[in-house]
Amino acid sequence: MNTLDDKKRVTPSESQRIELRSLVNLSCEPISHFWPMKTFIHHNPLHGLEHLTFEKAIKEGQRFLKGRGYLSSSENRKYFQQGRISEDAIKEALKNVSQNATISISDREISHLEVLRSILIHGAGKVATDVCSAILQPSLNQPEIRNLFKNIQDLSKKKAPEDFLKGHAIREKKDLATQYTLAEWCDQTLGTNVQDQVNGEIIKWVSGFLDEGHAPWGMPERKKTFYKAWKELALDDASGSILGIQDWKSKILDLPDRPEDAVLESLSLLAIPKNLWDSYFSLQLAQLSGWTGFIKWRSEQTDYAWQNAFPIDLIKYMAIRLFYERELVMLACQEKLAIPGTYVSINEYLNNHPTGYGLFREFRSRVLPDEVVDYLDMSLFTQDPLNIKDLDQCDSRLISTWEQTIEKQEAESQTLMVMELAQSLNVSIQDVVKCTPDTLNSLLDWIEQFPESHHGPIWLEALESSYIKDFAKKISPNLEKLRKSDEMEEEPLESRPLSQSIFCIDVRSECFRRQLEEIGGNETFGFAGFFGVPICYQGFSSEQQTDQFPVLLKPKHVVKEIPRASQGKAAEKFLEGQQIAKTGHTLLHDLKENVVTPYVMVEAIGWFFGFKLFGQTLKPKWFKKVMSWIKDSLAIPIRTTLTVGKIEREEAYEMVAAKHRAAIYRLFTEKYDRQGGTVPHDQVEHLRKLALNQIPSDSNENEELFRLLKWNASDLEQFILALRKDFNLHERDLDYKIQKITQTGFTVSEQVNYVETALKLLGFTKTFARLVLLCGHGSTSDNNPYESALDCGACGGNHGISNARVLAVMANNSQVRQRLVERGITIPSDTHFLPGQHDTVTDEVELYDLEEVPATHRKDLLRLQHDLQEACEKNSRERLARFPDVPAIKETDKASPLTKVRSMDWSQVRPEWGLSGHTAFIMGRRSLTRGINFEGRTFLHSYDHSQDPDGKYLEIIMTAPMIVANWINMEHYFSTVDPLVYGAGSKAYHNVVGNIGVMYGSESDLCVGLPIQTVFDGDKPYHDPMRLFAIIEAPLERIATIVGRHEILQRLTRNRWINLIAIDPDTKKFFHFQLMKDWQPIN
Amino acid sequence: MNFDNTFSVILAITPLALGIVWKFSNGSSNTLKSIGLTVIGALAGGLVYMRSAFEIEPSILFLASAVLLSGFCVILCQEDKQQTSAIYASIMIILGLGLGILLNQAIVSRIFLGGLLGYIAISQNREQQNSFRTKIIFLHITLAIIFSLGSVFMSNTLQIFASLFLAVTFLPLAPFHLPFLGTIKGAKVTLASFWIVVWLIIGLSELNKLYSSLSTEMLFTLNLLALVSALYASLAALGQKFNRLFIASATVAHVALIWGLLQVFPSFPKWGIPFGITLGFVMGGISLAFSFIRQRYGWKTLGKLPGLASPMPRFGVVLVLLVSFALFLPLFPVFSGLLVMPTIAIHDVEIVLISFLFLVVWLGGSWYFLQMLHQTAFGEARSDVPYFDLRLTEFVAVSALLLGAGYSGFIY
Repeated sequence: MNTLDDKKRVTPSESQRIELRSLVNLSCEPISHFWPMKTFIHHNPLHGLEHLTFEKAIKEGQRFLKGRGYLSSSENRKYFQQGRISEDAIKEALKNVSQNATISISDREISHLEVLRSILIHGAGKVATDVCSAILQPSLNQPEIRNLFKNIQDLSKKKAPEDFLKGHAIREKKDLATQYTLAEWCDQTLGTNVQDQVNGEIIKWVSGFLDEGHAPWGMPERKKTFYKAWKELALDDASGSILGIQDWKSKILDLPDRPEDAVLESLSLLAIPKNLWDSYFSLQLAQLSGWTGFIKWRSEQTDYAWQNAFPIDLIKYMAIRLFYERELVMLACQEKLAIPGTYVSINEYLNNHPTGYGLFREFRSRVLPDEVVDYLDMSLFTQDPLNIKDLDQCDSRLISTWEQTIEKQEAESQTLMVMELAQSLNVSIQDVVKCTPDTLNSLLDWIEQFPESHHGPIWLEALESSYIKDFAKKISPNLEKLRKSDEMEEEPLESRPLSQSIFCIDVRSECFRRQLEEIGGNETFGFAGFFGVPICYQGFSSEQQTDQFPVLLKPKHVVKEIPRASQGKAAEKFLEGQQIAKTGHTLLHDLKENVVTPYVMVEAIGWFFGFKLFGQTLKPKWFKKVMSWIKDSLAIPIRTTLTVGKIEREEAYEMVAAKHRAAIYRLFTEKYDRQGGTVPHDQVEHLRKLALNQIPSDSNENEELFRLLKWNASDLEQFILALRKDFNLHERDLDYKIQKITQTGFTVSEQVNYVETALKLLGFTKTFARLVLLCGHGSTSDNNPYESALDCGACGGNHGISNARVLAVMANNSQVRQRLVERGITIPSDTHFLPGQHDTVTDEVELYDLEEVPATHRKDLLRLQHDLQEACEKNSRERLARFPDVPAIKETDKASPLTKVRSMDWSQVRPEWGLSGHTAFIMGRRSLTRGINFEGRTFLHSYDHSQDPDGKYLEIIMTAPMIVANWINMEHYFSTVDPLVYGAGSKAYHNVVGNIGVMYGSESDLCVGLPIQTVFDGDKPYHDPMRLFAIIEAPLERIATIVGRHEILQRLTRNRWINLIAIDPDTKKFFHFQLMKDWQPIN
Repeated sequence: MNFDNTFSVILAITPLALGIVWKFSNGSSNTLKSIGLTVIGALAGGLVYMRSAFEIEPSILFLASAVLLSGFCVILCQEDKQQTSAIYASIMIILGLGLGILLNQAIVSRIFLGGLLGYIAISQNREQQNSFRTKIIFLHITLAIIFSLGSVFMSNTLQIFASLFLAVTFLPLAPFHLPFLGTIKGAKVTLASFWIVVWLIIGLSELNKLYSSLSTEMLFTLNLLALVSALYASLAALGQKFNRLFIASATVAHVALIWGLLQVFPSFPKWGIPFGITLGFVMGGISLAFSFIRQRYGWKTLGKLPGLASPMPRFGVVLVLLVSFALFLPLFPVFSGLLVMPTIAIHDVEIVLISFLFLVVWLGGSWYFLQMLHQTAFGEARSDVPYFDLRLTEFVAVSALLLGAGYSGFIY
């Protein structure tokens, strides 16, 4: 039995447990956090490895997550053919890896660089050894190729022969528990399915435990923590026995109560050496990196309700995972090799039977040559357990034949590579045949030393270099204009634009801004979509608050949406309607999810869903209209405002006191009808204070109450009790309510600070238009679990309108404006800030709080609305042209209805391209980029270096929006280069699980990253996988100082996770930040 | 010998002679291909002439046409290489011998059959190792040659047994399937496809002559043997790693259905021949498609070269169509037979046997064909292999077999 005897079991000390716990947590470094889907956070899937260089981190990702870190060479070659990667860029990128060496073929000198370039551009022609024989065969008719093959064979004969059979055991001993787990080794070597079995079990338990209200039946015993709940429930789970684990129940019962102890027990049974524990934990955690990423995130959230209710952490997860592994590995090793499933015994096996094991591995991994198949008893390989002794004693002549075949295949493979290279170098095979053995040897070495796996970094370097040079060329006319205007000594005449709009820095705003500006008279700015105001926002009638700020920040203020004063009755009606709708929705949900009711429900009201099915499928627009009409008639929308102003404690006290007094009157009228209403105010106040224990219960002043209401002491006591019980009128409630009221909103000083920072950060401190639009953004789509990924990232994956409304209220506040004047910003009294939201799918801009717009601005508003509508149509047309599924739109046809349909179509896997395709994040004046079509591929942050001499505002931009942009970029990069490991694969197979994420089908890892439809156009990448270009128009010294001040910036720039580019304001030249304070000019 | 006999001998001798000449000469591949295709065209014309002039039995004509179509496809898809002259020669020799067996009667037909068996033995000798299995195969072929030549001089009863032996050899039932397996395994690249068709067609022709002489007891025994053979071959196909043996085993499993259904349906030429030809075309088609992959990559083992449908869409399409066809093969003789002809009154045990046989062939076939499809066409393609999709001629050749199977299975 695979358990430790009681005698052997030693209870670990607390310090051992702490050590283990920290080791497990540290081992989770390669796995990045996974945020729940409802607040989709773009992040770097290798975030935990950012302390390493980009290349090293990719290698680690490959080791643990088995993910590819670069775009495939074939795609890069297409980029090269399309001219997107230049010849110069390739040569430049190859300089770092090429040697200063040449070979001579015929009368031609060929440099190492030339060979590498050919291999990179045309491929090395490397072909798998098991197929190269057939591929080469037809060419062997040609004498020169036959000779080449012979020459290569002669060369390989001169080399020291490799013991290819024993090599398997040597390699695997080294890699076991460092490159793969024991379960993976079993699967690779023995053809078992242990990994899938372990993962299947883990997914089952984890998805049940982590469910956040999605499952109609929650997993029982969750309050007891993950490990304990599993231990209790697994006793009744038959799957362990079905998998073949003997004495399943007793093994579960024998497990220690502490997960740390269980982990130590499993490690001891698997006999993993202590020095390998960290890498072994990493390998284990990387198996289901989506789930472990989520557990990692959740275990770090101290105020997360679900975590507090049902605790889970990595050690608990590890305890269960290792238990399954140790049992199933034991089973597989016993059955297939007749050895215990431990690290030590597997190592011994490899040590003792290197030849037999080599033969077995060759059989499993390669196509055996005919010479071997015909002479060897194949049943030796398929026996259970493997008869290793017979394999060890395999005929030596046969092994020698086998080795010769392998050598021949290697030579064939090399011949094919040389043929390919000769063709790409434009050298004839005859010349290659004539060259000296040393030359041929060098050529083969060069090919060998530059395999396809080394091409990725070179291609990336070349792609990035080509891009930035093209970019520099593209904006050079604007730079020229800027140079001229900066050199002008006279200030240009100040003229107020018709409107000014502040949009999010998002790439989707870039085209909309361009379109709006091109209409004429409108000026635009770019600012992080939360407008610098980090708030927790609670919508009217909503029970939950949303975090409207980037994850880098902490919430400071709560803002609530409340009905306007005039909307009292309408608000009540609205809430009633909402309540009805909610009840109906809950009822329907319960009927659908219950065990019995669906059978009846289908018969009774199933047909009703036909309307939804056909409506949503055939006429989505019509269906949406009908649904909106029904919704609006149930709960008529009301006008609201936000609690931006901060309420002082005294005022809050008075608000609560008024509420309490109303409660006392209500109780009076309920109990004494009219008489209750006649109780004087001072007695009501007396009662309130009694209830709040602010005066003693035996106060003399009670006499007046007794007299008025004909009460005695017991009546009074009962009344007070009723007040406390039914109306929550007690001290705690008072404090709670005051705290709740006072934590909302901002003081005037805070408001002034936020407005000042926002405007100065943008360089927007003068020439205000009459209307300034603060335009947040959000996205609307149907049947899209990734909807929040399309919303504003700066607003925590939510719509940005609430932040825009808050800043507008602040900026319109006369007190704020007065204080801003003292700080050098004079906003004219006729300037009105207006909030709005850009729907990035439909391109419509909805304006909010229109009742606040002064009547004098009616015409300005109309003009702005008209311009926004025109920009919407133009932008829709531009964006639609980028969708592969939309045919060209005629000039006479309108584009906006088509985008609207995309937002309603529940079968649409790509309502919009979102942030896909982005390449750069530009921080500078608008004049740098105005009029240039960046095709929605650049983040644009307004920044005027001349208004920020000490770099204070640039520092904010570089440490917040730029970091978020880097996360967005890395998520898109990795989702493109490996859509299955770092991305979420195809949306078509996604199933929402536990309200936290999506899985493939019914059982898989949580899908991390972005779906393939977001980053791919068919089978070719839509997103260009490059590291973000953060382009800053500011003095070089200033940028370097800021980088030097922040460890995160140093890490990102030094390790090449981001390309930091500066445009020198004086020379208008581009510089690439290579290492600390080392600026390389870009020509 | 009258003119029609002489004409049919000429039809057989022409490709045979050509094949023998090519065996010892070394012509250019393109020339041989053109001559080969022309000869097949001429032979097809000869068959048309025979049909109009000599009132030849339609089923024989149908069988001979199937051999011609298969030969045409194999020649059409040959690559332009020098070594292919040996393959052209083999095709012509097999074609000549096959036509000789089909178009002639009595001793002449038997001489051609003896010749074909001899040719098989020679090929086996060249390809196979000196194992116990090979010895059994040689013994089997020797017996078959003796029976084929001697049957002319045997009594009626012995003649029936000799013909039955030949029929179970060419419409292979376990344990008489070893020569078939050996021939398919050892055939040179595309020849395996041609062999499958020719082998089954000769078996069908043999059974066509024989089926009316088989007694009820013999049919029952054959039915039982067919069930055992189907079970064995289905299991063999399921566990088979080598693609040629996989197809050969699948063919044996499906052939069992012909033997089993003999007990139910009286008119063999009506259902048995079209089904047998369909089977030959489908299996020949799969084999031909596989041989293209073998030519390119030396591929022999199932599962070692997965995901071909993606980088080789033409190959993917034909393979998926062929396998889809193969999945429904057992339905053709059963349901079309039930629809178009009366059944023989059979007993409960026989019904159980036949039902079981049908299920074994159908369900087993569905399982191993889908498994093979997943190991070949689907999954992730290997990145270390340069892929070249089927050439137009290759695509046309496999498609022609597929169309032939469609005609034979649905229309004929």
